[in-house]
Amino acid sequence: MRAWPYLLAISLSLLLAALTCAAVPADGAGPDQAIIKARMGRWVDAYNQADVPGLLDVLSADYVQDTQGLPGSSDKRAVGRAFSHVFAKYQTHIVCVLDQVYASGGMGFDRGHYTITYTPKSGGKTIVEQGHYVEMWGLEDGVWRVRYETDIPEQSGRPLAVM
Amino acid sequence: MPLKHAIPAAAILLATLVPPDAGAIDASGPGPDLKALQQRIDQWLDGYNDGDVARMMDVFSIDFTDEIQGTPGELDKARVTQAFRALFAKYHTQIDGVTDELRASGDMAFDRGHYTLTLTPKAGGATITQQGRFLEVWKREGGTWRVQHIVDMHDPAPAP
Repeated sequence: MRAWPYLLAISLSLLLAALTCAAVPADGAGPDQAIIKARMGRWVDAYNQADVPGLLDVLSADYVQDTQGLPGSSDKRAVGRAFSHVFAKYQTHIVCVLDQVYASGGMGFDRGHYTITYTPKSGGKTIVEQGHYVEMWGLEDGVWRVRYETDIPEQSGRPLAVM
Repeated sequence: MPLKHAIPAAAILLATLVPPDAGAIDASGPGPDLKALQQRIDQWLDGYNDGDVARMMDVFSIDFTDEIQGTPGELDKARVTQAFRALFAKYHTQIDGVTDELRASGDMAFDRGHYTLTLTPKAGGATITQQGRFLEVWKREGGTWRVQHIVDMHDPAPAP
């Protein structure tokens, strides 16, 4: 009976899917919210590993970021450059807390707050920054990506103007 | 409520008042939904022009939240309503708003753009001009589009 490994795999997949859905809180119920949460987790992991391609993979090609206190908007290329500069100069660590996630159709929304620690590689004082964010997600060819983000740092002192 | 809170709250809402330039806006979604969203914006405009705060605030969800620069945490619907009443009591207001992007999918939508707000004190004094950007997240509740969350980022004041 060669089919049993496939049947077992399908059964396990269905079980995992059911468990995943059940684990999502009411406000964020549903598989899309769980996927967005996972994508956010991937972004955080990439940030803490200074993995710029991994960070950018979560962003749409036409991603736009607005940062409070800075004129104009940043696109994906500018954000990638900024991350590269930051990671070249600092050991960084981010802790993100997701406050709300919602998705409907091919659109998702999440918001939360963060704490980033920048430790200069060449020595010097560690910078701690806190802030909050809102992200709009789009489902692009079956993959959730951030299309737009607002970044609201609670105080100035960020190492680079654009990030 | 301090004025610094009242101005952005008003600005973010007023920014949706100016009908978007169809040639400039980056829009996607079902036409009926985009039309319905525009009607909700118009409702807010009519309410504003009539000084009808209740009609204005009907556009916003009961659990609406507003994140404003310089304000820790969030403002809820009651506080934003108070801010509008206080603002209209003290100022003649005018805003030029531009919607840069409007997208709808399923029961969700968002629009973002930028604005210039001018506030002229009714009691006399210098006119205040404020520029900034906004994001509004919409949710369809029982068939009606309502704003669930707003972010207002006002631009740095120009050097004197």
